[in-house]
Amino acid sequence: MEGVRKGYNGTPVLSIGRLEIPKGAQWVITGRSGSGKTTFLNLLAGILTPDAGTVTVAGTPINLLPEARRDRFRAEKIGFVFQTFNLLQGFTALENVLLGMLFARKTDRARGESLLDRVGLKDRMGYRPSELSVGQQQRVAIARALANRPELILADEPTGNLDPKTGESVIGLLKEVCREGGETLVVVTHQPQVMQSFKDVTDLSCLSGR
Amino acid sequence: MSLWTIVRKNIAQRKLSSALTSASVALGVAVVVAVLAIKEESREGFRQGAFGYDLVVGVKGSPLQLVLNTVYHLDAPPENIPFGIYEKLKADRRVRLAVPVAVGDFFEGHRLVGTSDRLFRDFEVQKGQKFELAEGRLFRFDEERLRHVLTAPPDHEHEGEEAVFEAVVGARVGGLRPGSTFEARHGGDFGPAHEEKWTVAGVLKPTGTANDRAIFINLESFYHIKTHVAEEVNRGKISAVLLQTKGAHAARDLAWEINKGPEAMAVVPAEVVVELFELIGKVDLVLLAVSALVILVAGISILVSIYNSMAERRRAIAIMRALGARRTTVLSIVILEASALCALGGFAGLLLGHLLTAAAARVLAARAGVAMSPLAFRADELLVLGGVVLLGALAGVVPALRAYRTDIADGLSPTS
Repeated sequence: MEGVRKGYNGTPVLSIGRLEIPKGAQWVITGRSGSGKTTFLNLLAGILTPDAGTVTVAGTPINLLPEARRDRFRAEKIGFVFQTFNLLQGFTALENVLLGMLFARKTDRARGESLLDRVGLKDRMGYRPSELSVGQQQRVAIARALANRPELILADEPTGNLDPKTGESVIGLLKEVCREGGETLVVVTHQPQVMQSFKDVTDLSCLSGR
Repeated sequence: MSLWTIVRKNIAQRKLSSALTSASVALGVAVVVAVLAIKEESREGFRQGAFGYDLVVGVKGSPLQLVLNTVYHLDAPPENIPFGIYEKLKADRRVRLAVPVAVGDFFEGHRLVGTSDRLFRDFEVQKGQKFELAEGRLFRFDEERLRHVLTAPPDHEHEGEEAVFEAVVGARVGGLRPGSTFEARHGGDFGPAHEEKWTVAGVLKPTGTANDRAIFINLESFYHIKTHVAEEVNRGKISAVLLQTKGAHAARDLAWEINKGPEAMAVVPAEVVVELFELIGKVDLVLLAVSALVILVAGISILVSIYNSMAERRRAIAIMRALGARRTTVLSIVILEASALCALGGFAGLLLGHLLTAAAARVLAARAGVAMSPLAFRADELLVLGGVVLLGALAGVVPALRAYRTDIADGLSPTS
């Protein structure tokens, strides 16, 4: 990110002079409430565009892309893991993973099955989210985020809805699969135990001077 | 996995609402399909019945009543014309074939048609199709004896002249086989019963026309019915003459000549049927307008139903957008969903429409002897189906635009 500024209704929320996350890094972004953590992730994902500055992901200045191309870029290059999992309720675990592939136009059932197998849900592929535990739901979300072999995985408070033990296991899995695939992992969290498990921690409050 | 999977899941998740909206579309389509099919099929059926006759000659009055009586065996019997008209027409050089008919009696809803055996031997019931016997034989008929009966002086006693009370029944007259006997009633099923009994000589093969539910009796027997003998009005008279002429020019010429005279009129059945359907066409238009309104209301209910569901689907749309779905993709999903609901309703409506047509076909066959093919698929049904799917797409546009405008960040925020 270079010279990035973002605000809502005239109120500045985020201001970053320069931040570079190396390819393949596993990075934690933290900060107090209102420091713009979610805004930061949304800017990285191309969901929001900055008021000023450039956001470059995998060599592409995504905020300069037209919206449709930015959507395609997000589908192909970025995986998302949310605090509330955000799985579609009417879909099975496997269908939720395949849905991630659909928008990148490369649906591969075998890969979907192997990803669910990788996150330990081989015998839960046909289950709907309501039939899975919260930990299992977050594992499905991790499999979905990896579906298109992205370059960047963004996780927004991925353990926020999990008990400490499950949270630890989910973070461990996330780090492991990203290391295996070489994906860059950016986790936004305010949980100390999560922060402790990462080497690179950036406090957004300090970074943006707020 | 495709967009259709998402559409299918969305529909399945809102089962009741989807089923109700599709059912309302189905209802509208069913009525449209049934009205179109019944209109066209019955029109075709009525036309077919008229093909075998060039002209029908009867008493001056309503051409429609004359055609309904003589060709379709419907409506109240008309007044009579002198037998002499038949004799004159039979001798006319422009006439290939003339067959007299006399009506006025019924057996269990089936009209008795007094006629000559030439109706079966020489007439074409439809173009290129003659009557054929399924079993038995034709009734015995002697034109000379008929002539004698009809031209005898009023005080002539027919005692000692043995009349032949025989009948040939149409294919749809149930319960009568060769050798069966039946009694007739005058003027209708609730009219006074005649004393005489007819014996069935033969049963005709189905023709797909109104003749299938008629009972043909020897015309001579008609004039030997005691109450008819007593009625002055029947003496020496017949109801109508069916004519096959030696060409269109001869038919026109003859019709003009007959219509100019004071005693009778000649009508072209095919022309009368066209007039009849112009009248029926107005009723069809009203029915079609009502059913189009039903479909329109169904379209609006789809719009309202999907639009109302957009609030609860906002998060799902935001998730898909976050996963990389374009705005146009979510727009397409909603429009496809509305179209699919209409298509489902449309297909169900086609099925229901044909079932309604089949029910109507049974009634028309029983009451008018008109054969319909209720299961035949018609080209304009494709148009109806296409129109309904288009309507669904249009109904989907408003909620789709709401989906299109969904803000990802807002949609994913915990408060949404």
